[in-house]
Amino acid sequence: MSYENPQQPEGINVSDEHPLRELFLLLTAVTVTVVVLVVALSSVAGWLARFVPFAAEQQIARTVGVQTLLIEEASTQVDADLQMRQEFVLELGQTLLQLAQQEDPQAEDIPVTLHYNAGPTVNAYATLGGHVVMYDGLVKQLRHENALAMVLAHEIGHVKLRHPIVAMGRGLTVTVALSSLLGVTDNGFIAGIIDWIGYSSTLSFSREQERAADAFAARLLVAHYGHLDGAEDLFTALGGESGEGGESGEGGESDSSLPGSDFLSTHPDLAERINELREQAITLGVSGTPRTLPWEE
Amino acid sequence: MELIILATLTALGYFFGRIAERRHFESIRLREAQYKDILIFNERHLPVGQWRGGPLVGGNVVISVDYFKRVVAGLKALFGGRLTTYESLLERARREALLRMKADARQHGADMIINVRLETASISKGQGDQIGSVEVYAYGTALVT
Repeated sequence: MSYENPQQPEGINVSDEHPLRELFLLLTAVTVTVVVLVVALSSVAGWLARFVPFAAEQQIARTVGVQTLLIEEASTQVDADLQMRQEFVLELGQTLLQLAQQEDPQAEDIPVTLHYNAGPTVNAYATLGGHVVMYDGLVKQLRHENALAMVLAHEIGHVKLRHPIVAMGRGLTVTVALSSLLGVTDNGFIAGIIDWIGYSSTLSFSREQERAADAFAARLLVAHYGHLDGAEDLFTALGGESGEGGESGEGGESDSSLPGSDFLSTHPDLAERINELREQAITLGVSGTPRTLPWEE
Repeated sequence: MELIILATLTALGYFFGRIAERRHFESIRLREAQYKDILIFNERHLPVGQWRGGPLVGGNVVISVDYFKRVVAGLKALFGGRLTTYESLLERARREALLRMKADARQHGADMIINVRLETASISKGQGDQIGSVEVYAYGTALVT
């Protein structure tokens, strides 16, 4: 019996596949899986959330303590100008609310509570329980009543279209789904990627809500003023202020810190929103003179 | 941003890991040719012939996984399949351990090692029982004519 040690050919134990190719394929698979999962779950959760009765939403709002967020910042001194702005805004809000009800009498009557915050933040938001908060900081940036009505109508639109509860339903579902996916790995990089892809894919839903609220607001403005002129001031005001769309859909979260692309932003691009507004005005063939706000005269 | 740091770690892991792996395989092939004359078998019984001595010879290697390999393996864990990045690493470790055993045998003037065994132990398990480094130990009975 003769013994020998022949040279073992290379490539039996070691795969020829390029590791980067493998990484790329795996990342693609992870991306597709996470996007499909998040989009499917978000759609189902969002659809189901619409069936949550508004009374239940109000209950949820109380449970999560929305009221504490709404405590109006007390002005340090009696400010007649602030008083005037607040009254004007709340009054305009009520007018728009009545108009919204007249425009669509079949719609479920979802009560909207308007709040005025004396803070300097350039922001306005709608949140769970039908609460809409307007910040004095944003109101002071506006020149025309039409732009102010645009903000109010946009936030009223969020409430009427049940956006806060839908966003919450989606958010919770996606969070639970992603954390169960993240449980599979203890690698920080993979967890980060899954988290990032998951979060990015939810953003298209929030932009879709913004577009819907913009369209709602445009309809209301045409009904109230007969035209859309002056409304786009809102977007120029938002664009001028620190270059970041401050006005937000729910809970007052700010825009993604990543600059630029539409994919990574909770709100559609401001220029795009201005364009959509202009196109709508052209389609409807409406134009007119914007009303200047009383304190801007 | 955390993700950028981790992506950099992965890129560094890939870059240096790739260079190290290529160089190591070159060195393994070269030394395997040098030690070709020392035959190794896992046969337990002495082959026919006259043999002097029979010292235990061995060689061990400790390897650590680089970040890139860990990321690819972690992603593979989601889908299943061959962990090719670990396969090449362990292949290197086994061959290196055998070569170190042969180097030990050469010092004894041996020209054959029988009853060769390979053993492996994980030295450190990282967070969440993630294997950080592995030892491969090759040992056998050296035979001198």
